[in-house]
Amino acid sequence: MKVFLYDGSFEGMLSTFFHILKSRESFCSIEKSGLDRPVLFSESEFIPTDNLNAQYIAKAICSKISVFSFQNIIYSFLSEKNRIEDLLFRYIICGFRIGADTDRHLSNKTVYSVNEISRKVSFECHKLKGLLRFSELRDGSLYAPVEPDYNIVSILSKHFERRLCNEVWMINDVKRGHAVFYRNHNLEYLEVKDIEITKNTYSEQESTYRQLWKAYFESIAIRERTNPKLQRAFMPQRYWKYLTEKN
Amino acid sequence: MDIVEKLKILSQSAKYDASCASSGSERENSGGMGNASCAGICHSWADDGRCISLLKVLFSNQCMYDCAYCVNRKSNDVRRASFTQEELVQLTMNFYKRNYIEGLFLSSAVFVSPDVTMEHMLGVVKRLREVEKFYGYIHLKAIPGADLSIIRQAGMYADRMSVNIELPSESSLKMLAPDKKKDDILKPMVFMGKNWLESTQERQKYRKAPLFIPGGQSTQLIVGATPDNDLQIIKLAEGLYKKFSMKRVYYSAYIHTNSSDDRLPVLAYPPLRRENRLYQADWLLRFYKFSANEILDSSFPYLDEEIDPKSSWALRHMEFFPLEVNRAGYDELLRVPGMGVKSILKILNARRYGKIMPDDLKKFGVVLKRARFFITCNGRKISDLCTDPFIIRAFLMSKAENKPKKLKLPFLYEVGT
Repeated sequence: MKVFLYDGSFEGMLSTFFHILKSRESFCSIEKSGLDRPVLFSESEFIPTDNLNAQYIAKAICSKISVFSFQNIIYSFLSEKNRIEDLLFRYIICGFRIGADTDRHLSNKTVYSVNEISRKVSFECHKLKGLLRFSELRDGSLYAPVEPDYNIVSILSKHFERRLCNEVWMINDVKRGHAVFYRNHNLEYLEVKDIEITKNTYSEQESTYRQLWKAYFESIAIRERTNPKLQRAFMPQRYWKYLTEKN
Repeated sequence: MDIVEKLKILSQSAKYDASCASSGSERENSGGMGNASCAGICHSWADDGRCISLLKVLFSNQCMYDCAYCVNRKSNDVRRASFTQEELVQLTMNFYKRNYIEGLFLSSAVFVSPDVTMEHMLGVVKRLREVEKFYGYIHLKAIPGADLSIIRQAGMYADRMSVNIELPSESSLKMLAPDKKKDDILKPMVFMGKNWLESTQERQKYRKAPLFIPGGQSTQLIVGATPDNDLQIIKLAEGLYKKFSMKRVYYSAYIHTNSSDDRLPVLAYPPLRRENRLYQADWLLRFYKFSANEILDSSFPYLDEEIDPKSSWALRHMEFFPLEVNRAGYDELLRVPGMGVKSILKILNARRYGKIMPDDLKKFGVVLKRARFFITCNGRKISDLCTDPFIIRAFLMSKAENKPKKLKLPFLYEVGT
């Protein structure tokens, strides 16, 4: 039995799927390379990323299963959960067998798990569409740090691409050390290590609007109905770090 | 007065408006800033747990009316302020840019005359849309008594408009808001409902037909300030949904703000539970195909505060149950307490490909704590508890039922240590 390794990218995972389906080799798991998990009684093989193979699989998923399933796969992949690759492989095998209405077979454990994980990822994505906070920098560009549970910056950026299409902005995933940079109607994915933001990098207006927002946040609450438990249920404390109104 | 003070005063005055929805509109960005998200997006949650989606402010709180329940009535001694149009536009744009808000919710106290007030509010939205090219969400209050042509113009720029009914009956209105007339409130409502309907029908024929409040209209009722009962309130809401194609009716638990007025009841705390039950009943009207007369009747005019209205209905109609999850239709399943639209759709999908087991139900999001008394799964009951409504009621009300019981160690062990 083999362990297949790939480079950690989405295309890499799809290329590995392609390799396994093509060669019909039996395997015990698919893993990101570089994790250095101790492996007993099995050898490992690295599968290089091949964009053509990845595209072939992507097309097959969209046409033989459904576009919705393909989106499920992307979202689940971004969850970065342990052994997600194995689950997704089982999912596409299942999908190729059942066909277009795979995602209706919710009694099927694999289908259910993938849908559930994908739902959680899109839920966090929706939450952060609201909880993300931009700060205006000196040059008029906008900067937003986030620390999401899942790797969703790429999905978030699609939302803000439509919304703030005339601005220059950057969403920085502080935990994972990468960022999306938007400029001239163009999205760029960058690796970013330690961005330093000091008071001087903010624009002059920034502190005024922060103060205004805080004042608004306080005065809009009805004192007779204070309910911190409800507040935390909707707005978990792990997101408070970058919220203007909570700092 | 500086802008921070103004914002404090004018948002303080606006906070009793319950509506914060930013949903229902799909306005796209055509070369400016912002767009509307159809599902709506909440941007923060205030200390009272209510979501903050829109910048909810009054244009001015210098009111010429004297409604008993309102903080801004002219006989109250509160600080007064008004925004200028430019201030409000800048505030909205800058908050929006920083992703603090989803858009603007502009309301106002009535100053000079309803027409003048409405003109000023129209000025703000016109400027946002035409000068600043703002495509975010705008919710605008229609001022009762304002000229319909101004309201129509405003509706072309806004995503949603609303007129608050506030008091559920005409007698209450006469008693507490002597300056407002029922007709003044209903006229813009009928007008907006009609125009919205026309606009949506037009757009089905021509995709480029002009928008008129694409997010529909909403309204608000105060609960607990007058002796009106729940049946009256729900019937009113049902009528509003049917006749005026209303999108939402909001219920706001009455909060005692004006202590010097003896026309109002003095409540120790706002009737939050009643408000909650009314919202649940409202959901039954809109998504669960219930009618007001099914939820309540004249012998039973108040909602049960201890259990939710759907369970309450189910307990009064035990002859309808148990239902078999593997066979019952959509409309039937909608009546089962503990099942929602989403879990039912999952059940309907899954059962085309195989029998549904009790474990699946849990996965689909069915709340078995409530549902188990009313369903069977493959002909079997999920719990072997009896069908006596009184006993079921006791089970539904108990909260700690699913938690494991804490056991005390026998006395014997304590001696040893």
